Amino acid sequence: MGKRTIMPFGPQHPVLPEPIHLDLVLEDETVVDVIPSIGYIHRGLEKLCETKDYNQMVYVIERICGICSFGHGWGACASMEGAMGVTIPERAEYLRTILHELSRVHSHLLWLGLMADAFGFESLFNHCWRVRESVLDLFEKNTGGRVIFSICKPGGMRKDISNENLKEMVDVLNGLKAEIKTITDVFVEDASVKNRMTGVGVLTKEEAIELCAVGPTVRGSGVVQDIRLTGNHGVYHLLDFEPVVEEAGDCMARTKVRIREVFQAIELIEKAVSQIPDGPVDCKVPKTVDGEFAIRLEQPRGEGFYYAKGAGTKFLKRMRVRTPTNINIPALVKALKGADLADVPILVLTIDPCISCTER
Amino acid sequence: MGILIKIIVIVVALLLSSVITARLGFFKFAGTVIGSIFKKPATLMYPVKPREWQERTRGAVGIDGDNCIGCGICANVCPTAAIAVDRKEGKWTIERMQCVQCSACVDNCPKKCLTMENQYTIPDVVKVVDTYDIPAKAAKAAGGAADADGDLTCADTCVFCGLCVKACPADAIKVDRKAKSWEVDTDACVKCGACIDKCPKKSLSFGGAAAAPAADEDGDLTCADTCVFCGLCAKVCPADALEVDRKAKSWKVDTDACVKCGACIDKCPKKSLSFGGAAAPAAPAKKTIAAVDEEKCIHCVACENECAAEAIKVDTDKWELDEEKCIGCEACVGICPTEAISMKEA
Repeated sequence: MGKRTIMPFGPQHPVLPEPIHLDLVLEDETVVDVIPSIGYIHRGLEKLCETKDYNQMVYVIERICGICSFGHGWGACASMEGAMGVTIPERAEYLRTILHELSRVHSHLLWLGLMADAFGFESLFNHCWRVRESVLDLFEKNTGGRVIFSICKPGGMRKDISNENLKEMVDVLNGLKAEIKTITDVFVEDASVKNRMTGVGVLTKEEAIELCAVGPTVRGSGVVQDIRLTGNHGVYHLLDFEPVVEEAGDCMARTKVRIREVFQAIELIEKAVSQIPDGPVDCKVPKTVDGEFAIRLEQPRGEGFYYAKGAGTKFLKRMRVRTPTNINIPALVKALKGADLADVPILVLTIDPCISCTER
Repeated sequence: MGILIKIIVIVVALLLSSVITARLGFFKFAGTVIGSIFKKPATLMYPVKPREWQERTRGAVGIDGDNCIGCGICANVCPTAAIAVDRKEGKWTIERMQCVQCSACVDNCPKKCLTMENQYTIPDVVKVVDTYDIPAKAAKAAGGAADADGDLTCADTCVFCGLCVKACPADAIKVDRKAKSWEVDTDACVKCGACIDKCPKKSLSFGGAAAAPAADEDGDLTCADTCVFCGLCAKVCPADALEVDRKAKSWKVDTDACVKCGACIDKCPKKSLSFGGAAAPAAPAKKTIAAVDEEKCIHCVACENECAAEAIKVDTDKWELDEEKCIGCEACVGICPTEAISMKEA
């Protein structure tokens, strides 16, 4: 048995886009224990929500994270609509579903790029982000923002997206499929990538369930769990699809889940666009929020939980957001134990960590 | 030479990749990478080539100042408090660094004078605050600009209340209430006449021509029982001599502090105030309350916020008044941006 050393990892590290700190307990080059600590980017946004009019608050919640910003905006709006007892028009639900799936495409492409960057495949990283750029352009055209969309509001959507624009969106995405395929094939088939990811950081089905992992992390371990099918949001129940599940539970399996989800998201958008009804996209909402409501959303990273409570005024009494990364940290710690030091960057990225979400 | 080496490298790489890729899964990406060498750059040569904006791109907030009515809804809905509206001065201010381009102000503007422009503001090393002129609301009260002959002078009817100092946009006037001194810096004075309009004693004039006879100011300030305790007199008092408690229904004057400027008498919506108790024009027999013209009302909530008695409730499509609570102070009439509120008999 070698001598134990503690090596700090982060909050500043080339592989980390955001600050998280891990104390790695090493025996020679093997990680035997991990002590994670967060708190470098806490902004107190939940508290801020209590001091703002609920309409202004959507813009605050959206800024929790730059990548799942649409999901956050949707979660905040949906939880407040629930508390008010408002049912939004069907077209608005469809538009939200479409934009949410579009943000899944861009989030997963971003993650694939970061993953390539983590194992040193720079050209692959560049190509992932090049393809993602077309998706961001779609967002800009339809919502007005590339990253922060500000298109959700309590009661529906602030702007309608015309049917022509939706069709164009589907055409662009179908055109991207071939490019995404060439890029993602590298992740699955290239020998050097396979060597880095196969069998690394295995999380068994039992462990994943026990540690309450969510999203692609848990689906990569063979657990069928998708809030899109069981939750109370969007029009996913009308779209008829199967969750993407891989059995192996290692880094490669989680990557495969995300790759397949990119294609699945494009299919879902196509299906939703073919079914979308005409009609209004927003409805009137009361000026005050009374009552409470909770909603779960399947974010690109996993299950997000939103809770809103009003007290009959235009201010919310409490807004709670629980984000997927927060829940996935125990799974990350489990996966890190027994890994090589050289594999730590890949494993940290494998849960798709979003520290801004975690700390809010 | 450089091109030759490049071609050789490419050919070798192509050969290698085609041979090995199929069998072993090495150089899987080589084809794409080599293809990229012959493609145009995916990035835009910014800023040499300007970016094309989409119709909906949110860049920066712009304002058409002429149409603005200064209602302040944009400042109310702004999540980051980047916008400030000063109706009296006629200024609309935005802190560019604070603005998050959410476009909430543009959506809520009742006059549609705000727009979201595609081009973002030019990057800067300091925080930029942009101020735009909008029609000033206070201008309607002006009694016509006085003939600006000669310097500003103050007649001996002056009570040194200091309201002229507050009104002066050029900080040209100095008043010391204790020393009973009034001074004007004639170089700084821009002769706008704002102080003349504001002076409750009409002591100010250009060239010393004015000075209307002061009202009889015998005796202390008193309040008749028509008072509704709205507190507007306390708000306007330059000497902080008045104290009004709406709940306790009490009205108090500190006669030592009172400078007898009469500003409160002008402001009082019920005309209950006077010097020496002489006034109080026969108490209005009927209570007056606010009434709204539903067609003009834009449900901006300005009156609800202004109402000291919490009598007004504004919802997205209706305007409600609690007649019991309304004290008839007319504060809502003054604040309404669309002049939809008037007073009627209860």
